Amino acid sequence: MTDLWTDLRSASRDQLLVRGAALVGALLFTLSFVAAGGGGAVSWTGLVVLSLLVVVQPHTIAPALFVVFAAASWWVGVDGPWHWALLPAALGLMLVHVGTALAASVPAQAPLPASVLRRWALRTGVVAAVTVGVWGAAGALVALATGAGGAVPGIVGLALAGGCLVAYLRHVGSSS
Amino acid sequence: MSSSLDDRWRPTPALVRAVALVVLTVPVALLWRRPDLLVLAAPAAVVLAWSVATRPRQVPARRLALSHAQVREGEQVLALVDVEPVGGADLLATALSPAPYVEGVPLERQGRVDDEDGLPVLHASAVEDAHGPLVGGQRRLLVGVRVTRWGVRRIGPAQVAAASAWGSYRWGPVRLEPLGLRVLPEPTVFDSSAPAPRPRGLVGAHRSARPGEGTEFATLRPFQVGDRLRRIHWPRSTRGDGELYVTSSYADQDTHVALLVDAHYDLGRSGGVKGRASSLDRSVRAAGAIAEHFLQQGDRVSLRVLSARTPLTVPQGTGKRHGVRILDTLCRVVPGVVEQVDPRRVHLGVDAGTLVVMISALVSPDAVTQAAMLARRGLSVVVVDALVDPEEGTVVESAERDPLARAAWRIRMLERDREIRAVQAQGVPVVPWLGPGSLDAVLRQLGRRRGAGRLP
Repeated sequence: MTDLWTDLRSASRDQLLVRGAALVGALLFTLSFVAAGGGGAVSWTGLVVLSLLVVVQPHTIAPALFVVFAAASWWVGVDGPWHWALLPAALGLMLVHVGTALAASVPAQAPLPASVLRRWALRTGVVAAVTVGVWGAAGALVALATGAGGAVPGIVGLALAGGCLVAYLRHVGSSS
Repeated sequence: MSSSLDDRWRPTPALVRAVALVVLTVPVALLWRRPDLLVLAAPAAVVLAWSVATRPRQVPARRLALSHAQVREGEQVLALVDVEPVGGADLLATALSPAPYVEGVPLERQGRVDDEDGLPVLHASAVEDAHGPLVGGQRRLLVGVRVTRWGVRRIGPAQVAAASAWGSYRWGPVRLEPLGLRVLPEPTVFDSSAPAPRPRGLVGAHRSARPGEGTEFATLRPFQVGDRLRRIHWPRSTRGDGELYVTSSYADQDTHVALLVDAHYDLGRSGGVKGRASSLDRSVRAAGAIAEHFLQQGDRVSLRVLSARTPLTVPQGTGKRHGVRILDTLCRVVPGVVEQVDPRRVHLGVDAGTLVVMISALVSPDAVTQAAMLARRGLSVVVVDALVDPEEGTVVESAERDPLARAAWRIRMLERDREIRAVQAQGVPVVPWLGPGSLDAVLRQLGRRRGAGRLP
């Protein structure tokens, strides 16, 4: 832990900026979660503690713990199927993921080239745009859903997800 | 060497995180009819698909080099890490491992941060855009380092790594073997206005004892056959008895300065070029300064290092290139005690007329014995005491915590004082190294003595 603290204290300004973006994302999710009426003291405290861990050790399992704990808290604490605060919550999770991924990819003391920061910001913007589209589509589906079809949409979705998983595993297997 | 596991592209915790979020969330969202969970997992799913689609496959070739083969202590050098550009790589990063007397050059202003062991964190890392411009077909990462002490310094090993888009795959860190950098000592400021005591050569800057062609005025004397006309002193000739007078001069001659560096021990803790100096720091820097000074005067300088590990020798020579050769040799000095060697049997390669400058901490009795032996042979010998701190004027204190060891050190220092007095009694002057003018008084006394007389 001392090493991680030393790493943070000696980090470059760019590294602090990137970790700060991850922290902003974590806090954005937490606030959205509260706004959506979810959770209680335990989940809020857990999210804040994990947020700090994310900043201190972005290259460990801490960010994974945060996003899984956040998704589980949302599932348990927020009544579905849609809420306006879902968008900032999803963007917050995206910032956590992207910020920690970039922070963990480089030495903490090294400044980042401006071109790299610009490219990552641009890509993040593209993903954010896709997320906004998904959020809008989900809202429209919820508004228009009649409940017809029973379990068929779920089964189709699971089959699609399973197909994607198999394709991914084959891709990984063929390339290794 | 790096393991083969590091020398390939591997998934990172970021990729595992995206996979975990998607795999855990999507089935729950579908089974429990929670589209909000799908929205939460959407960014991770997009990043995951993007990462898999742009996954790099080729392992890049890499190389570590240095911008200079040798530098002076306190100067900067660039570590050049060249990495072959490969498809799918997004970021390149490198970091140098800490090494003694090697500091990173931070690219932005940062305060000193110490690690767990109390050592400053090394700012010797760099990140480059993998899509940036190429240098000779390679992507080049530059890490600036400053070497703070003379010697053959280790730069590296360097760890080099690359990351793919979204940091989902990483190659490395792969270790690149360290390189040796010769760091020449920065000679301390030294100047002497005193001439060398016994010039013997044919040409040079010192005044000879004999008259001849030179620049230093000797006397006015009557004209003799063979005198040059431009030597005629007209004011004296027209004023006198009708006889022509000429100005005579002393011949200019050079001398052989033999530097003996006692590298049996390195006492004290070296703080680098800006910090406190150890005894060997002072010895090496003083040797460099004296060599440069006499070489600039046109004298011949030779070097002999007394050390078990690096018994180095540079034969006598002149000129700037010879000075660099001496500094290059000095930077390879490693302390080591010569055991079971009779100093009387060591041939130092000095002949009559040589000015011997021995630079020693005078802790090893061998050095004192050799100085006394050379003086007995009739050579001009000056011993520079490298154990005396020039700022405080006292010998360095023992760094030992053990009271017994401190007491032993004090006893050794008393013995050393006695040995110095004994060698002084044999006519060998012992002077502390104090920079400019350190040797002036001694060299003048030696020059006046000229014979077998002894210095007080």
